[in-house]
Amino acid sequence: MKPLPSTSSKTPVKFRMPTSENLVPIRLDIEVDGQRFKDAFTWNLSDPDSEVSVFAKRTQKDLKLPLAFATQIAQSIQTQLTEFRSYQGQEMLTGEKIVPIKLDLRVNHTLIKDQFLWDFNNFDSDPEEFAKTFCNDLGIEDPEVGPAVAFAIREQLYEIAIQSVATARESRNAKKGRRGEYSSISSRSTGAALDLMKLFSNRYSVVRKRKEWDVYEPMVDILSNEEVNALESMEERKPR
Amino acid sequence: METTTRQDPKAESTRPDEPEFDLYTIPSYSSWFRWNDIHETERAAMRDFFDGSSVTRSPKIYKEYRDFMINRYREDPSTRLTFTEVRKSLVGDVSLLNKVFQFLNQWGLINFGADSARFESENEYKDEVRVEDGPPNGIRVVADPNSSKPFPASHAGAPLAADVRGGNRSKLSPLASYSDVFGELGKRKGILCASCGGNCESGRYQHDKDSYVLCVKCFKDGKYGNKSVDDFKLHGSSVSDGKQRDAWTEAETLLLLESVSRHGDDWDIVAQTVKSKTKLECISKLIELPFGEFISSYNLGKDPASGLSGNGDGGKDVFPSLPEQQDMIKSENVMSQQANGNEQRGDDADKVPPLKKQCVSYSSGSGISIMRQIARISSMVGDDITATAAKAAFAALCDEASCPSDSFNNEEDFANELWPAMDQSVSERAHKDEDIEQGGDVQSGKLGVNFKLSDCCAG
Repeated sequence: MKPLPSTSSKTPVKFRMPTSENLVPIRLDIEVDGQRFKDAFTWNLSDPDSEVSVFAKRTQKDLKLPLAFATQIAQSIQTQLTEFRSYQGQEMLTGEKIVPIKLDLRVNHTLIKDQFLWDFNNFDSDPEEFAKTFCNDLGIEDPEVGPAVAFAIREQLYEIAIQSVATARESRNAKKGRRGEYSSISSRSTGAALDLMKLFSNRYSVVRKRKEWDVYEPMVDILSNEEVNALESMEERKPR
Repeated sequence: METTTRQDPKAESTRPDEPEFDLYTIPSYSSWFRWNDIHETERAAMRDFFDGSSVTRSPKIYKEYRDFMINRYREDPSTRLTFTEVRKSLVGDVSLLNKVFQFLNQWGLINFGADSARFESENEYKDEVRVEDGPPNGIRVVADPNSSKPFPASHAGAPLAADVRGGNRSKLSPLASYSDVFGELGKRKGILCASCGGNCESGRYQHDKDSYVLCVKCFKDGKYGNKSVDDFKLHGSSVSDGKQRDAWTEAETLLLLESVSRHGDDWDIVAQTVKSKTKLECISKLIELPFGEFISSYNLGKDPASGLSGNGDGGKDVFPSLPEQQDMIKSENVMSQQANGNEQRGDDADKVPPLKKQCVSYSSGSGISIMRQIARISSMVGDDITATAAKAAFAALCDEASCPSDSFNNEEDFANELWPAMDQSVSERAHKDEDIEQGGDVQSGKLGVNFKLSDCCAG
């Protein structure tokens, strides 16, 4: 395994997915002529953008969607890639940053609730591998769960990365103004990040209290058809 | 597996309710493990904890993670401890925790004696390829409930949506991309003998002009239909049939090697000597041979391992064998850099030296510029290096199907245009007796090879 980038240093890092592979989470929710198409997947940023329309056409054909979907899909992906790229080149805050990741998702009949800590600045982390272990350990058989878990992690990391860019900008501005303000601003806007040391030192141990185990224990429920149907009709009625 | 049984002192101290001696089995290759120490192996594998990069990653914390995981497993050694089980009890980045867990697992410090049946069978299961009949269930196309439009019932999406609601895993028709991915596979399976209808997997004769295919047996029986025997070509036989026209016997290969070493690249003579093979077949066979480089080098009487072993006798030893070709191209790059001298440091910058430019155009297939480049370089370097460079150039040119034979038609223009520097260098040396022969040889040798190669390509 590659050596970690030294996480303690405050050298700025350019915006990217804080994972070993720079895969961008893409979510599609497209409605054309009363038909709605939802999907979620990751896009490799190093793939040429010409692939987007190829992918869109292929998806439209595979799912036997009306032709109009192809352009809509391509557009949606392109927009999201452009948004991601708009952050590229900007600096993120560095230094160890442990963030809580919460999973609360349903994939077909599988309902998953979980939370754990993730080192945001470990650029060797691998959500897909984590998800694979997750499914193996919990005996989840639905092959769609793993990718969905990895996607959920990526979406949250992406969100935090965007925040990190904003925080880095703020703190630079603050530094220019008054030096004293730097620490207060960064601690306020990185409120999501946890001070791992604090978590440790409460009990002088890395081992959680027994009663906390349940909080951090993944919950997996297999829903019945009726429950799935009820949930789905609820989701579909939700205003977009 | 050979195992050592170790005493667990920690069990004694931390869990006094358990028997005084707890025996646990760990693999012999993990005998370095000590409760009260961190071994080199651990330091090397878990560098994160030992490079002092973070206060939350210290040797102490590593030891806490490690000890907790091992103790947790030993609470019930027969049950496999999973990462997901252990991570809920530990504070820390899950990627890091997983690293520790995988490390302990790999060394058998946890899960060594555990029942792994479920996981092994799962792994086997993972190797299987599952063919999905339609899009995954997670991707759904449903009618928008807010829409007043009726959902097109004839649409393929409708039954899918309905079925998912009903809980059935619906079977759609295969994805449209199926044929893109597996089309070739399907076709190949479908090659059947036109005469007997049998499978032609073991080899087949295909008609030159259409896709009329005969299996080997039918071909031997003379069931050519209304076609001519000569128009059939053998394809993809896995069975080695010594009598097949395309296959090379040992004797033929030996003949080829012998005549190549005697006549060099005069492929007409080589083919005559081999008799049973055509000129083209001889060339491609020699290219295939892994030791083509050795033959040519042997011919030169030089060290085969050296990429720059060519000598002035350049004409006779241009064997376009593949390993040699790569070597030569490499050595040529080196040379062009040598020729560039001090300039080579600027290569990466925007200032590109002229020779580098020519190098680029050479790779795009321009025969002229490579010749010029060689000519220029050859005026700067030794003759043997020049000869080697020429070899590489022709090998590369010959390799490209687009060998422009017509560009070599006019011998005089060709020579004048391509070898100004060479001519100069040769004439400069002309009054030195020992150099005349060598230098001239290089030039004429190169040209000679060139025409022969263009012959090959044209024919």
